[in-house]
Amino acid sequence: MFEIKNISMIYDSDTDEKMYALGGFDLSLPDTGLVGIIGPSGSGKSTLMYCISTLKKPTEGSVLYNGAEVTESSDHEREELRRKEFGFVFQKHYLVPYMTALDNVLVAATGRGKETEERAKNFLKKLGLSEREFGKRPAKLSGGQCQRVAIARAMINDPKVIFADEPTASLDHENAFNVMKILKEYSKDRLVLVVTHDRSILSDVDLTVEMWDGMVSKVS
Amino acid sequence: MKSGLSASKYIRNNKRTCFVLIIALALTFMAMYVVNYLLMVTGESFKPIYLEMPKKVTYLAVTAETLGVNAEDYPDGGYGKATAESRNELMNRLKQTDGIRDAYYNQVLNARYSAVFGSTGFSFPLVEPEKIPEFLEHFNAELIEGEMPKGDGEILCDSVIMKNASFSVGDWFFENMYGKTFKVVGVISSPEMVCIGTPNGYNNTGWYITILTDEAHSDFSKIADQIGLKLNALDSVDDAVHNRESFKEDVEDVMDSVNSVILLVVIIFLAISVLVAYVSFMRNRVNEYCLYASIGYSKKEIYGMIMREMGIMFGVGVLLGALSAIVTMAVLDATLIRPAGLLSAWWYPQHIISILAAYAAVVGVLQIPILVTVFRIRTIDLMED
Repeated sequence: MFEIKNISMIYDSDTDEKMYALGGFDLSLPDTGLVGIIGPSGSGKSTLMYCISTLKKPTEGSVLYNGAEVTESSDHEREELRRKEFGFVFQKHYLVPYMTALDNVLVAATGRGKETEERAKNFLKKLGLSEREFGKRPAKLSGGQCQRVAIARAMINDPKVIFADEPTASLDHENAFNVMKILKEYSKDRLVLVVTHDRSILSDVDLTVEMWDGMVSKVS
Repeated sequence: MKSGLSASKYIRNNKRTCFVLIIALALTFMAMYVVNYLLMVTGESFKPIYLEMPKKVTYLAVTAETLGVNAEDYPDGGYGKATAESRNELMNRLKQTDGIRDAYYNQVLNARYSAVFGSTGFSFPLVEPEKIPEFLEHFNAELIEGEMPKGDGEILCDSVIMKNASFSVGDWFFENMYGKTFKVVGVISSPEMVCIGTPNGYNNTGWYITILTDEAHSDFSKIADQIGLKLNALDSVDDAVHNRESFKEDVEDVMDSVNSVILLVVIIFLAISVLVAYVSFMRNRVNEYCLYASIGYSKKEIYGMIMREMGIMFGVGVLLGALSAIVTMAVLDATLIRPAGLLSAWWYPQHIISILAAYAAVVGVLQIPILVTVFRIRTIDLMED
């Protein structure tokens, strides 16, 4: 699904103090499955995920999605991809503070109406939120609940790829296990990329990409 | 693809913040409209005097020269008599002219009429009691209180003027101007707010030929042409044309200027305050916009949502402003305007257009912070910062 070629990301590239977030490497990702990108803080794993998902443009190299070059595509094309084919779970949950849990899921939906709303509720239920919590704002939810709302938001359009940056960071062990179970199930016929520094949640992954200092150190 | 960015969600979930802006917009609308209404009370109240009354009566004062009388031709006296004869001859010609009901030579008296801003005066004839019914009939005026003048110095006064000057039947008519010379003996009601009375000696208020006309003959220059009367600069003609011009210059133009200045000042203050409020709005929501961009919404869709939110707030503000303006005008009408014998109108579409245009200008000014914010939207990058 993704072909990453010679990708590099350099911050402050115009100055003498260049900082290589990604050092230039190739990587190939399958069409389906749960892929874990693991590495210590600052290893470039989140940057890699953002570059693959079109949120950031790499300084050099290319990302091919289903054979099409996405790094050189237009803003509109990248927006369409993110909207229709990708789902995101960010490191911080980034929920809209004034919206309810349900509205936070629906805000990403490409469809409207009762059917979409039911679908959003089902996702929230599946992720362990009770109906009483659907109408609560993020400030009234725990960190774990917020993260589960963010995961439901990522899944609402049934995207072909989910990019999850530390999806279990604010969850207890049981909830973290449940979330990974859901992501694993989703990855049966989709691709799920999970960026984490917690090796314990990657026990069930199909592919592990280990990163170190801006480079892929191991793919297993 | 349908956009899932709802404009109403922010407003529904941030009622207090949005309420402040909506109320500011509503109060501004209300204030601007009500100020215009109060200014126009003057215009509306003066309309019967300036625009309606002169359609039915013209006051004419002509010099002896216009009458064709030269003082040098009467070295041994008789100048006054010749002038009077010539004036009578003119009045006879006027009476025979189409559209003129009657013409008589009489003293006039002035009535004062004060509006919210400024006051005006108008003349009315002092005639013999037997002439009064004809005058009342000409103006479709009816006696609603008191009695018809019988003796000297008795006045019939329109009910609106009565209220305006706080007169009652039996009061002295503008005692501060005429002393205890004229007494109000009756109240009349007429669309043109006329008064009429009987003379009481010589009052130095002027002698005029009072010409009762129909509306089609209220332009005296045409009548003068018709009867071959050549007017000069010293002649005084108080007809419908002259009054229309005076109304435009002395009332409408002045009110328009005042209105424009008030509108400009209010809008400048509104624009500044709304601009400050919106900069704060935008700043608080940058992360939200970046999230939308990250999950695939275009800047155009985000801009559209911001504009729709603004549209709703401005729309509700205008609606509430209009409603509160109606309530305020009703209260002012009942407590201040009508009891003071003043007239008002509530519907000024041109002024509504001016206010809406001013609001559109404010929306235009708000494009600066909005476009700057939208231009600066990134995806996750800015959120991380």
